[in-house]
Amino acid sequence: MTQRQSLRLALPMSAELDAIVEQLRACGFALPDLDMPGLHHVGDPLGCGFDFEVFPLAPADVGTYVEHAISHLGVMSTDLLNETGVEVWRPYTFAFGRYPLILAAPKGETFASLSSRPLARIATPYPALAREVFSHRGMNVEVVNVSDTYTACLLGLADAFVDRLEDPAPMHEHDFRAIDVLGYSQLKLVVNRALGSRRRIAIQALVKCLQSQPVAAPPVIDIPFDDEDEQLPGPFLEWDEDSGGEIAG
Amino acid sequence: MLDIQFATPALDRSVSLRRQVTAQAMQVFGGWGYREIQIPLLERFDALQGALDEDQIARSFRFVDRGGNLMVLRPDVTPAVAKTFAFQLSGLPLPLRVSYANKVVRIERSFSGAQVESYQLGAELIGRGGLVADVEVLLVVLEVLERLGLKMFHINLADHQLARHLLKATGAPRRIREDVEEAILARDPDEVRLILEGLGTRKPFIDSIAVLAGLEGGLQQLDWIEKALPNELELLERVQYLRDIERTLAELGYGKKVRIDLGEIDGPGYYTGIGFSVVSEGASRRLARGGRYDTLIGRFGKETPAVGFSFSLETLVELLHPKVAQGGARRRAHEVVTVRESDAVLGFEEVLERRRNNLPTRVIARGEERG
Repeated sequence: MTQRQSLRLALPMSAELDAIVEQLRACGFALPDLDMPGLHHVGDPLGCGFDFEVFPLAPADVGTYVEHAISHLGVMSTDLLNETGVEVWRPYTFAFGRYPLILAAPKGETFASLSSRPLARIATPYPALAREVFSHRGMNVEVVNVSDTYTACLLGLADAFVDRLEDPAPMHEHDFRAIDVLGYSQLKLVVNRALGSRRRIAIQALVKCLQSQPVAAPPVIDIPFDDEDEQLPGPFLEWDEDSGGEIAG
Repeated sequence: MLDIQFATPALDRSVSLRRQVTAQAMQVFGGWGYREIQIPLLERFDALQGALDEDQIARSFRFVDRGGNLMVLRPDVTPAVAKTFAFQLSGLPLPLRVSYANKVVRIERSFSGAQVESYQLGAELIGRGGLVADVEVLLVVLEVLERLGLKMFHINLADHQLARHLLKATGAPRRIREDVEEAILARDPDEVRLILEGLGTRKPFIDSIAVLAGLEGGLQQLDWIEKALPNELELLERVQYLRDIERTLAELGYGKKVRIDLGEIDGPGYYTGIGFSVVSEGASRRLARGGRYDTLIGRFGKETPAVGFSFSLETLVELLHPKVAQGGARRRAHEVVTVRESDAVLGFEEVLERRRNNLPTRVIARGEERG
């Protein structure tokens, strides 16, 4: 008797887990709620000759497990993929899990005001991204690696933060505004390069199934920019109401 | 901060396995007429710099010697072989076949970021272009894999020239082309389309590059490109060349071991023609990588076509170790000779007899109960 081969799939224990599970269930994966660690054997729902084993994992660890081939497949967001530098295939993009990556600060702050500080401190869970952004602009900043960026700014640990914007409500609540959108993070199916090469048919079957059973994308996130910036005149000019003309600022 | 680790001291079976694998590979290389070459580990950086791409330089170890020269620990063997050929061996009749079992020192990206020292087993065929040379090198790789007893492996075959032609035709600046190349390597056709549609690249080129990034592989990738870009003569020439290589290997009985996969275009920037990588069941990384590099030697001297490959000794040993360990456990019982303290001579005579016959032997000392 030939032993059946298995394909292990690591899912991130993140806000998108329910949507991922829903899409996999639509593809025939009989998955329980993945709120506890452990492998779940779901047989061969795709009829591709491979038995799937699904397990939940901390989001940042998925790439490492896949790159080491402990898991053949996984689901991971591009912000973490870029930050950890893991080398994996990314053959499918989920419709949900798309978030803007923003530079934000208390209302009124701008790139200019940040660069005028002796050494601006930037709180972020993405230190590599933050360093790249500021070094591109030629700005010398201190990057503070924290996961809770709001608290870091509110308590004075940092002047601004680089983070992904999942919900704009806390920004309004704490009077923060986006200074710049640095890119977008997306959720990807990730595959070990070497082992994926030997299991293409099964992986293609999974990708095709996911493509045919998309879960609707949530509404686009409204990024709270500082609208007042648009109303302000240039930094060196202001309007003199009395004389009706421009004067140097 | 990077956690730098140096080569893990390998003990016992791992050491002997490394020697066995190296010996097997070198025997195959020798059988095909590849002569062993020794390349210095330490090079002057300015002498090698022209042959290294940005990524290789970033991952290399450089330092200033007592004379004030900037030195580099060899991060890749092929550029060093190219330099040695151009400066020392260019008078020899061509083609020249060289092989090596050499150490490289470089920071590996990503999860293996700790891997600094590693060993490459490789061969280079210098002075010959074309199908015969490319197929010869692929056959050498296949023989090494067979001699090592591997069965569940295959070679992914791509073409760097074809990929470069497509990327250049997009009209994208270099930085964007690099992003597209990253997306191809990540098998992310969505990202390829996102970047190129934003640039206004023509649809047949976007579709063809997205095919490179696809998982399909196989001859249908070539069919697709031929159909999408029927007027790109240079491209069609490369497609036909890949078909010819694939057909030649299939007729030699290796049809199932070689697979067209146009997305396998990673590796150093000096590749100019075919590129290939070897993957195997049970190995989380590729076992070998190779390709044609017709302009590399020209950076040091007269332009000379060449093609070559290198195996990662660490990956081979990691893959083979469990198999050998199991075999070793089975064999061990037959290898044991018990030597009693009360009559050590008798026991050792048996040991020496076995060793004179070149039989593997393990000595077990047995103490006598003292009354």
